[in-house]
Amino acid sequence: MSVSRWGWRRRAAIGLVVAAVLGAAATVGWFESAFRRADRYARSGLWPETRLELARYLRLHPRSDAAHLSFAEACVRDEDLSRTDGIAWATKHLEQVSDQSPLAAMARSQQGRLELLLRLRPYRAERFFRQAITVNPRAVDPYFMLWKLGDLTGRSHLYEAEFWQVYAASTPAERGGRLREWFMSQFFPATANPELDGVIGSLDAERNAARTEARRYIQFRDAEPDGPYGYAALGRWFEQEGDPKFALAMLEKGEREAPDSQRDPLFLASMVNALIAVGELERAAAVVDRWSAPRDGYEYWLSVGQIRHELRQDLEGALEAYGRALEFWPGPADWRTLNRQAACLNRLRRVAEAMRLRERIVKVEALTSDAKLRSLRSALGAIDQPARAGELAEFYRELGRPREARAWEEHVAWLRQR
Amino acid sequence: MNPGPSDSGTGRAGTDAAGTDAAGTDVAGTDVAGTKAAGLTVAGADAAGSKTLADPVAALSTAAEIQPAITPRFVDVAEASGLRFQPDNDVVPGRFFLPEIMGTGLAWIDYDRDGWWDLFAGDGGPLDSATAGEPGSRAARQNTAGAPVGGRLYRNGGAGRFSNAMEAAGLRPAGYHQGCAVGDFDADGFADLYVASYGRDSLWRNQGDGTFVELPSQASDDQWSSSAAWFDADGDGDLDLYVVSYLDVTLANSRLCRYDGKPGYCGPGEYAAVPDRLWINQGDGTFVDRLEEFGFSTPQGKGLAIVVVDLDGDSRAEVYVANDMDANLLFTRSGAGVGPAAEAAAEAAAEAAAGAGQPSKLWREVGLESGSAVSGTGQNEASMGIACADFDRDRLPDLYLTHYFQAKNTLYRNLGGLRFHDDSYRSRAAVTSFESLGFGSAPLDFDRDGAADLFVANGHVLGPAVPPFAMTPQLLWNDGRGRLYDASGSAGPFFQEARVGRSVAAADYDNDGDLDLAVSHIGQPIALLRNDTATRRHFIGVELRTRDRVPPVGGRIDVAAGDFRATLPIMTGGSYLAAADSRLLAGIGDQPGPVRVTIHWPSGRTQVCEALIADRYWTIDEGEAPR
Repeated sequence: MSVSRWGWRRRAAIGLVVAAVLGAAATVGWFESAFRRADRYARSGLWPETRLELARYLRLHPRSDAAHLSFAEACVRDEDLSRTDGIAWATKHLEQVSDQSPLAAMARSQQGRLELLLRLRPYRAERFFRQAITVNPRAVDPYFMLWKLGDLTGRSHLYEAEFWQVYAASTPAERGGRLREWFMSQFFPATANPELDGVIGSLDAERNAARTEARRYIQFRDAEPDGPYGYAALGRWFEQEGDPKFALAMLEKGEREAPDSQRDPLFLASMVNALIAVGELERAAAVVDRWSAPRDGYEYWLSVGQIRHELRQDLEGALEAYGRALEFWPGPADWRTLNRQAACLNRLRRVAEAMRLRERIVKVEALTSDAKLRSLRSALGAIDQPARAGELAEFYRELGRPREARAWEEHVAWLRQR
Repeated sequence: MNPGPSDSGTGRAGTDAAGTDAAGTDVAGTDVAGTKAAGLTVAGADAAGSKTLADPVAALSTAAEIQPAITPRFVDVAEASGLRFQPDNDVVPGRFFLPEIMGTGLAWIDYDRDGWWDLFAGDGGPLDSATAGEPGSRAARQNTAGAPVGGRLYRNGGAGRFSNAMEAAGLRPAGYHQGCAVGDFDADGFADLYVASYGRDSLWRNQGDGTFVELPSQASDDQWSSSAAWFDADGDGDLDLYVVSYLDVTLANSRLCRYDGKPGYCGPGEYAAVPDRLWINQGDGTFVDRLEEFGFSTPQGKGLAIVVVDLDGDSRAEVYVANDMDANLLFTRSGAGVGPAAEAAAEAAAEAAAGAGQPSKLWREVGLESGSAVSGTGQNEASMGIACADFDRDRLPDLYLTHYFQAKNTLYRNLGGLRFHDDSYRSRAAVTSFESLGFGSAPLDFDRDGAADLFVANGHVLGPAVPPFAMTPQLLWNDGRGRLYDASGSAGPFFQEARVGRSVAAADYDNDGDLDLAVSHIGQPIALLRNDTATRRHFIGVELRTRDRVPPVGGRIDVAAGDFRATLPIMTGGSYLAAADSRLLAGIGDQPGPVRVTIHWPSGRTQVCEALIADRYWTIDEGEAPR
């Protein structure tokens, strides 16, 4: 009897253990499958459920980078969460993904998106995008986002290299669309990204482009008062709107509050422009002299040229600097700087050269005229038609932009092949 | 030259200012307003930012504005002097017919030769089908039905009092008056008056007895003429007339524009230009338009102002025409290129052509190559008025152009040899002008330091529904190095009140050795700003007459007193729709004299007048002793 009693107890104990093991296994299995369920919920837009499942999964796999990335996504998308909480939680999870992770580039890129589009901090966003490229130079998204960041912060001309990276990574079927977007970046950057303006909340109710642009810059400046991009963009905006005093005050504030302002070429160039406009040429020259951003590129050489031209009366030097500025985009379309060159040539009594340059200027003015650009925008609506796409190729060829011209020609060839 | 919206040169979305929305559809009619209004909206929407930034802006403005040692003082004495006249601009609410917003002109003319400069103030009048119909119908109706009487001729009684002598003088200029030009075309010693109009222009010969008579259908057309200037265009010794023309606007083609949804006047971009005229004086009281024959043929500009002045130091006058949103024009009597050699070659070519029975295109347009046609970055600017003076004291006359709101006024610094540099930034012509829309402008040396200061009349053109409309005028002080500082704050109450200013004409009407100013406005009476600036500094005034008994145009005078030196161009025209006192007035600082005046006559003769007593006017006939 004792044996049978012992046997019963033993069997019961074994049963319990088995049950526990099975239960545990089932639980583990259930937790393990949480990721799959989260994915299902996510596809249905059930973000609280998604987060719940991912939280379960992360209990078992606290170092799952994929889960952290998904969790961050769910936080951002979950409308039940306050914006502040959503951003904070998403940030926390993205930070869990180390730079050594295979998903690091994606995480950094997501952090950049979060900074740019939700926190409205483009300067910090750029750092994350650059970090993403560092950890994975073949990642496309950070290049794409940097290109868009350029549009959104009034500095698209500084992001040509990023565009071409995106273009190179695109399929032939995608490239036409990319080129269309690039045209917008080049000639209509303020309104190139209405969907992003919608996300940011800067889209003017009456779709007034200038108001949208200014509102966006103000949002950036207010959200990131220690970053230079908002000040730089607004400074340039006000200067070009005919209020250089306000532009200068804005930039001076940026100089005080944004420590990295002195490393931002657009900030420095905006400062130079505003100072020149208010007649403070010596101060403008001092900004150029102590230029601590890379001493190259469109903004740098244009600033150098203006100081040589307006202040130093060094016309040969100005010509050289303007020439170097024109090597960068938007050089070929920059009839203003071409005119500055023509003025220098005239004053140097190099009349024949000036006349030749003026012929070029007339052509550039025609190519970048409102009517011409509107016509090209219309062609952009039909880039699946070889003839219309060909108009873009022709335009870029005439403008002296062979790379874009070739790309459009390739698109036309692809359309014809297709 | 491209004023267009493409701002690709900076990478900024200037193209968007063209009214293209995010979706690529047009926001019709909101281009300009959209941009401008956006600026205002931003300030409002950015309450926090504006608040924190307002202070530094104010600090910057006040800190940067260095003030003159001598406080300027100008007092509006129009009413007290008997000048009680508000031109009828015929502003009809809701009509937005452009001529009604452009103002009427002013001309100082010593028509009775009593030594006290009198004032003709142009008038508007009904802009009905008779004046604003199609050009042909305008002319016919006015010629047959008779011209409406308008304007005032205020005779200067010499004791600071003016009386209306319009009727007594028999002056009845037709049309809706614009600019005026004063010149003795028949060389009888009495200044004649040309009144440019929207509608028929009219030429009034001064009969020398205090009355004028109109020369019928001479030097006149019925298109929209703006400013005009008398000078000897063909070198035959008598005065010819250049008439600047503006736009082809009639009641039939008039348009309404919307700026951020608000109705306003359309700008020059909405209308075609009409050609200028060069009325050559035949010597018998008749005139013939020979614009093209003389080489003034150019792509038509939308002209508003003219100055005729020797810009290259050869004593022969150049003609500079300010165009609204078109490139400005500089005509010189040269052929290929600029500079003395080119000019000599051109002269020879012209003479050869004349000898061969070919038309002698004596004048040539050199605006672009001279650097005075467009801004330094190649933009056509909305030029309204011109002030010509040697602002940087390098003995070469410079050109100051008034421009649009939130755009710079431009100072073209004369580098010699018909070369100019857009020096607006260094000279502070830019920073002192972004917040205003300038029209008439007059150089005057209120502190008598020998450096030309400036008065600028301001006021917007889009209409009262699109603020800002009224604007305060400005007095800009020249620091002696050609840098301009706004001294309006201390210049008197007139400078504190916003008006819609238009024409400005300068004259020393009280003969006290400083320039006073007549100013016309939209919707307000004309002002007479008496210059009451107190200074112990000295002056010398000169009235010149050529051997042909007409006031010279071209050449210059050099004034020397002790170590003081100044150069004044001998010119006509300038400002906007205005004719100024033709005497030359030089502040000579603290030098009490004697003064040496060297006259470089347009004829090429140089005449030196030594030991002139300061603080008075001298009359100098070419080749004769001053008196």
